[in-house]
Amino acid sequence: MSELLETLLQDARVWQGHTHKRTTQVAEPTSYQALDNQLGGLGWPRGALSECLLDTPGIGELQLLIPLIQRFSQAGKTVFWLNPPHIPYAPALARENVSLDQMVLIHTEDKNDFLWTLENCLRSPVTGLVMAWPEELAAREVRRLQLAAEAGSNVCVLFRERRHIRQNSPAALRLELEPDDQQGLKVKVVKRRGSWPGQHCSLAMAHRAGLLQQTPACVLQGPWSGSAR
Amino acid sequence: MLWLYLHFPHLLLDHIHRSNGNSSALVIVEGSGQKVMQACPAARSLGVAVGMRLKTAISLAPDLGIIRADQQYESRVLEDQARWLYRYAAYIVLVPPDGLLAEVGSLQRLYGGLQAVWQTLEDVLHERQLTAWPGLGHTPQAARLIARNGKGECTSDKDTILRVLAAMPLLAAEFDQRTRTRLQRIGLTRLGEVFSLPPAELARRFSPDALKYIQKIQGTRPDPQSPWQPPQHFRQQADFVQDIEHSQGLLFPLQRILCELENELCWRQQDTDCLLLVLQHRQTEPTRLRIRTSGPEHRASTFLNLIGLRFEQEPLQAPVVSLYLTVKRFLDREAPGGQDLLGESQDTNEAWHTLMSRLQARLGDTALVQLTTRADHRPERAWSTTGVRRTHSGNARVTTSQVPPRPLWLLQGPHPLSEPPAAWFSGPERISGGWWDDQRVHRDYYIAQLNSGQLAWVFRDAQGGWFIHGWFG
Amino acid sequence: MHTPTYAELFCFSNFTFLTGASHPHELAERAAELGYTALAITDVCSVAAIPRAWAALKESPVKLITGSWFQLADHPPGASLPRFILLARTRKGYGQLCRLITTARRRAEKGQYQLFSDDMEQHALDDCLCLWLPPSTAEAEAEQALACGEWLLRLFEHRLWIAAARTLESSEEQQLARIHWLSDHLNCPVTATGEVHMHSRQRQPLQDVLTALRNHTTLENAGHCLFQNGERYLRPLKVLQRLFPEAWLKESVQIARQCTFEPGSLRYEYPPDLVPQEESPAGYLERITRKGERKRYPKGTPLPVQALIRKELGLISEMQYEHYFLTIHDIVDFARSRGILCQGRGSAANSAVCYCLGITEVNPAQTDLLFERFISKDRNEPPDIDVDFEHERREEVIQYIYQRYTRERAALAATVIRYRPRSAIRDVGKAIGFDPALVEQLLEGIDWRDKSTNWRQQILDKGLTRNPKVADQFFTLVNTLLGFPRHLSQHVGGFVISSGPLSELVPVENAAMADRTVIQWDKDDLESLGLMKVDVLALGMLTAIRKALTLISQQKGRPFHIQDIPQEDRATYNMLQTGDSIGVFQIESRAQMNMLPRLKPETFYDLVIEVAIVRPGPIQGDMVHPYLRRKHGLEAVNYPNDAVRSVLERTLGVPIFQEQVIKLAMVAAGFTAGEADQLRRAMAAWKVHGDMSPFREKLISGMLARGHSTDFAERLYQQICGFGGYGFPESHAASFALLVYVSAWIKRHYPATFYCALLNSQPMGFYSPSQLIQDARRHNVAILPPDINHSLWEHTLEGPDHKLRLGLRIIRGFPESAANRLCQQRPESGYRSAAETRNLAALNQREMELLAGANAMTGFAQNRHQAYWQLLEQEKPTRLFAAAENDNESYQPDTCSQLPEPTEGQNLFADYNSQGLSLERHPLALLKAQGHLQLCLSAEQLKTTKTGLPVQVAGLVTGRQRPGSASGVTFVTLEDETGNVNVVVWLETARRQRKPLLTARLLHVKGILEREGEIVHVMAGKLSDLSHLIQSLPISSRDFH
Repeated sequence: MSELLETLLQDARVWQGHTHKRTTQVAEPTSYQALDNQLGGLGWPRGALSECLLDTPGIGELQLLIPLIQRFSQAGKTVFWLNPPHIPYAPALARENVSLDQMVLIHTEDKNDFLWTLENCLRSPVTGLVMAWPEELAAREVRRLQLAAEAGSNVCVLFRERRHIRQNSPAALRLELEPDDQQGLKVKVVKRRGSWPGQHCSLAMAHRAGLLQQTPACVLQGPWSGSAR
Repeated sequence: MLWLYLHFPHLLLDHIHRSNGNSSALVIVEGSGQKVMQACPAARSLGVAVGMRLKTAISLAPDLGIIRADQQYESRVLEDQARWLYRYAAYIVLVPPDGLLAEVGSLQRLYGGLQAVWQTLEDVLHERQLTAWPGLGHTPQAARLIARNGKGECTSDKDTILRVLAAMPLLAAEFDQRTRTRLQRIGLTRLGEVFSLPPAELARRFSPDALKYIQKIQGTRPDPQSPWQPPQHFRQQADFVQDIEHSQGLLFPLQRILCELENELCWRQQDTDCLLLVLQHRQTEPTRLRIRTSGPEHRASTFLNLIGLRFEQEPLQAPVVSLYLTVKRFLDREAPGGQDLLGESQDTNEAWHTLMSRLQARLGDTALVQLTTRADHRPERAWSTTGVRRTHSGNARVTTSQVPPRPLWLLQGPHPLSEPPAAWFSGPERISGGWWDDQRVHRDYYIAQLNSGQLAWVFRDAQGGWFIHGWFG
Repeated sequence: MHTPTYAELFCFSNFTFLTGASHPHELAERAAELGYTALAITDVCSVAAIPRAWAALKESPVKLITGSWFQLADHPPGASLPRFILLARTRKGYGQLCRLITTARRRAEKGQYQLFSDDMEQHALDDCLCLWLPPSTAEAEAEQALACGEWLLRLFEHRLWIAAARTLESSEEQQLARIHWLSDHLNCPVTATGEVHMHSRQRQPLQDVLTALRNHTTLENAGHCLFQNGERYLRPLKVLQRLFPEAWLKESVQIARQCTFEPGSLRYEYPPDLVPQEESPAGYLERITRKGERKRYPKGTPLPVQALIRKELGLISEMQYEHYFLTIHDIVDFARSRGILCQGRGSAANSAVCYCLGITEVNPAQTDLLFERFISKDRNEPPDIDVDFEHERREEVIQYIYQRYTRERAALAATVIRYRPRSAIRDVGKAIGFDPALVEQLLEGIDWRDKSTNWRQQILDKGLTRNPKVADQFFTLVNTLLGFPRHLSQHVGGFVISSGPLSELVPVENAAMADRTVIQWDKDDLESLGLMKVDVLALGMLTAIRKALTLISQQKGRPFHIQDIPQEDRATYNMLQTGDSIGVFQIESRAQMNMLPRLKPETFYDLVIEVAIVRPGPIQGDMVHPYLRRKHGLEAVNYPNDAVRSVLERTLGVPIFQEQVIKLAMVAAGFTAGEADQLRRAMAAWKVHGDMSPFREKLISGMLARGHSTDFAERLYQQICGFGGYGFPESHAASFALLVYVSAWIKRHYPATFYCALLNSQPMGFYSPSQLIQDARRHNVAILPPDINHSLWEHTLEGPDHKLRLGLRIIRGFPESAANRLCQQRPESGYRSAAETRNLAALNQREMELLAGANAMTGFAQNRHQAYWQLLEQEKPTRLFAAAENDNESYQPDTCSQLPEPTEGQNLFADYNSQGLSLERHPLALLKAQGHLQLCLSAEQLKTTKTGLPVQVAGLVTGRQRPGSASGVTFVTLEDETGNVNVVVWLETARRQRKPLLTARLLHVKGILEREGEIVHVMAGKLSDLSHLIQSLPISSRDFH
């Protein structure tokens, strides 16, 4: 675990020249080459909020974070899922070589509990990544979270609806996610601390449903053709 | 020295009766389930006897409750007895599976005579609804033999004790099988006849060990014992003959356990602020309830109230087959409860526990869960949650190829598919099973893309309805 | 859309144990319903299901293909683990397949197989087709799979297909992609298969249960061991058409077309070795028959027998059964040359030819057994001869057969061990996850006669499940599992011998017993394929008779054989008429003993009837009473017509034997020969899966139409049901009756010899040595205890008055080798001390203790206690040296005056412990001497007590029986000092007094005496457990009885 952290830190140090004065702020690569390139090679910021803005689940939004989840979980860092809209499906995570022992799933009843929980997770040294699905958040609440995020050095990704795109946010990184052709994911950088926004790219995501191998169509002549209304 | 031996002829059964609050016929059967090892008085009155074949026992008592013998369980229950006996006598020896030995010579003065000691014990046994046969002897073995044969009398007179022993049948004297057979074969029937054989002949014609045993009974050879030390924590268990379905049914056995706890805390002059109650179920993972008091506490009633409240909030997930309560944290009565909940420790392990207990304290135990896979073809049964605990990749790594493509999001329940998908990618994958637990599934699964661009895991059920079951997030 | 054609080439039956979930006939019938072109049964390394599938498909257009599924135990170089199905193309290919299975099975433990890639290289398989089941992507890399395919392609060029299945499971797409890829790379065609595990999807629950059992787990925990769905069934053609490319379906039919082997073409070639080169089989058989005839009838053959022999020989020759008779003659000849007594029985055994060949001792002149009744030209069915041998020496005969015909050509038939109610409930309960202790409780409580009504309720009551649906499932599963095969075991003695290597006729595998091999078919399978077997059975009574004859020869000073026993001896029949038959063959059971005084046998043929009448068939048909009335002249004998007369005349118009019933169906109910044959087959099989009810209508209406009464017709039908599974033909009865007569004659005229021989042949028969010895004493035979200075290993007769001296074999656990040393080393004047005995006979401590415990050292130790005391003296080397120097002194017995004398009670119990019997007074006598049980009548006194009187009896409980046929009655046998008391306990009485009934060792009964003829019962009222009285005897051990 420490070895991996060491490497990560070293990676971060290399990029420190390009980034802000805050020496504690490092980042985690997304492991999607195209996206990493757009983000100036930095990836997900640590000690700061990130936002993913999207309309509906099921477009590859989790797959975007899988490399990170995988790395953290295997390094023994806890990954929190705070109020996810659906069940993170254990067999699929296992298939992605995610260590399930590090996944902690939390459901809160009201917004106070939600903010309190998120703060506590962000401040703890055991945390690697927090993914949270908030309901409405007021700007000051986001600021409060941003402060908590700065207190630790974890990655925190908020999944919010795309309509909040116009809302001002202190988040260090804001990404707009939309489905693309070939089951891909279109990523647009809405905001990026210390740089101009507006970059975008498309990531291939078909492998998340195992659709990579082209199976000869003549074989799979199944009952679905025609039977699905 | 004077020794007291307590023989519990059906300790496990007493223990179970106490937890169940009834007195139906019960037996303990040996591991292979063929022979009766212990029978409660109710079973005995129906004609069930120890050593009988289970088949016969069932013929005699068709509604017999059957419990499988379990050495670990038995020794735990025996230790429970040692724990309370320890409040009366300091020098205790465990004699598994069903006996306790205590040095009582030194107690006579404390209690004001042997009679008082004897009476105190009888009262306690009665109060605890325990059947125990006491026996006194000038040696541990003498006390043991007298107790096990139910010949106990309140006397410390050595001659009387030896007389009782001498009249004892060979069978009762618990020689090893070989020695006993040999003694019987030459026509001896009572222990006294063995006492009168010349020691040299006994050693020569039988075995030196046989001689040693006789001498230990008589007291002409030392028989050192190793005293038992009470454990640091408190643990009590209740086991049920029939599964308990409503939490109300758990309060009765809990009350007994909590009274034990109160007694123990009083005796220790300590308090606690945290109990762990674990409810065991037949199939599912046990339910672990951590009960926290607002401050140091020792009263059973307070604990019981807290647990009752908790039960109201959280109904039982499954019928309970047994429960245990443990307390590991003891606080001295005078000392202020200066605990550090935030724990700014460097140790991540501790930090993890600190964070989790902090979250649980505010959100409740059930708000936090961990994920695990289950080997089941039915999608909704292929995963489950567990309470949070610190483990390190106990899960065997599954390689990618062994697991079929599955969506990262599973819907809480299938959601009707309202529009024809834009594109179909794979399928059908037919899943059919689970007839045995009444959650039968019979579905054809497909991967399809909706017009919204979402990649969905959809299925058609046996009735032809179409549903979304997951998103490839 | 047109309907496609399809042949299923991958199908497991339930002979792939704990995997296949349908019977072969279910699969066959379903395939026919669905219109499949062909069905291959391809069990794992086995063809055990083939005869059953064949029988089901005989009349159907569906072709049966014989095949088998294999997985190799090793990888060919660089390749994945090969898994494939071999199909027999021709008879030759079938032989190759059987040979391969034999190789794989013979080298593994019972029930397992092991096949290596080398075997595939070395066995000729050029007439087999191969379907390759390529590995999944999870199992092997593409390259390894390809290498495996190449390896198989080399072995099966142009005879290899890739099998593709559509089970609709998760990894199917990858698998199909791989199959396409492999097919392209290997240029090898693909065929569709169903990977069938069951005939219908409804069997999925059972298949899941079997899978859980195979994996030693419960359904709940079986997880991914279970199949993902229930698609592995015989699917309708329309479904297949949707799933497979048409070419693949067509390919399956192409393959099926190539397979021309038909199991019905298997012919058994009997070993020709026995016939001298220059002779024809028929000529040789006739020659040796004539030779035997001269021996049997030295004064000339009676004319009817001459005619019979001629007729039989003609029939045998016409049916070409000479080799069969010659083979049995050879085996019997061998036994005779070794002095092993044997006796044939079975349908063809009691023929004149068999009498001449020495296969049977039943003289055709003495009985009226028509050979034609047993071998019929119409029924193309092999003759059946079973031969019983002395049970202690049968192994010699078996080894002779192996040696004579080699293991290549001789093997035992299998017995299919099937699920029975208990095992089915246990296993299904295990899979469902019921608590095993509760399941046992359920088993205990189940009334097997009460079939379905309260099953579900019992399951719920026992708390096995809360879910009534699961309870239903449980019941259904248990019922479906009943009759499923569990494993193959060895038949008691049915040998199959062939002229060529047997393993080309049927695979041979290992049995549990070392050095035993069995074929994969059982008796019924052999019969349905028309193959012959020889039954080599063990019979204890033959051992006893041979030992008795040897003793009589010694007493007479000249050889004495069965043939020397006078026929129709009056004294013998007189004895049997009183029911004095303990120890006599076949008629010593309680039911038979009751029948003897009623039937009063006077002739040999009466014995034949006696043996056959106390059987479920005649009893259920209520034929016993009519027969008895007619025999004693209380009822007139008449026949409706001559046809019926010819069938029933020798049994006074009452059908007793199985073949009479079949014959009656023909002459009285108008069955055709074919229908009668079907009836006979159904009777043999109905316990397994058959049902007699289809015959009921035909039988009854046929009989009414021919003027018989409804009552008689109904009873005949009941009798037919009663014969099911236990049919008893006349010929069997005749063979048994012979042994009945012989053993009864010996008992009557040489009682000491009789008991001595019986005791020397234990274990056998109904009675324990203790009961036999008590009976012997009642017949005034003096019994002497075992003694190291007098006894041999066996029991012997001592002195001119033939006292029976018990041998050392009566001492439980005493080894024969030690006994032999003890006898060989015995000094002229006998052993003088324990030390001397130990040293001279080189006995160990345990053996010495056994002798002391038997009180067999009375020569120098006045009682057991003293004997044991001497043994407790540890051996000291100085003593040994001294022994060598000075015999007399060191062999002085070493006594201890302090020890108490054993009491009579102690001796009694020690005797029971050591030998299971005592020559002291009976415990009951002892108790009565002490003043207990004063009001109880003894067994002897009961004989002269009036019927209907209230009586009290007491005795040691020696038997508790709850026969299935008697409605809830329990029979208890009590033993007292004078004999046995029969107690009958009605269900209601038993229910109220469970405790004494089930647990008492000494039982006291108040009841009413009932008598029927000489048979006495006590109908129990109040039962009391007096076991404590036994405890009160000065006992030395808890174990008694």
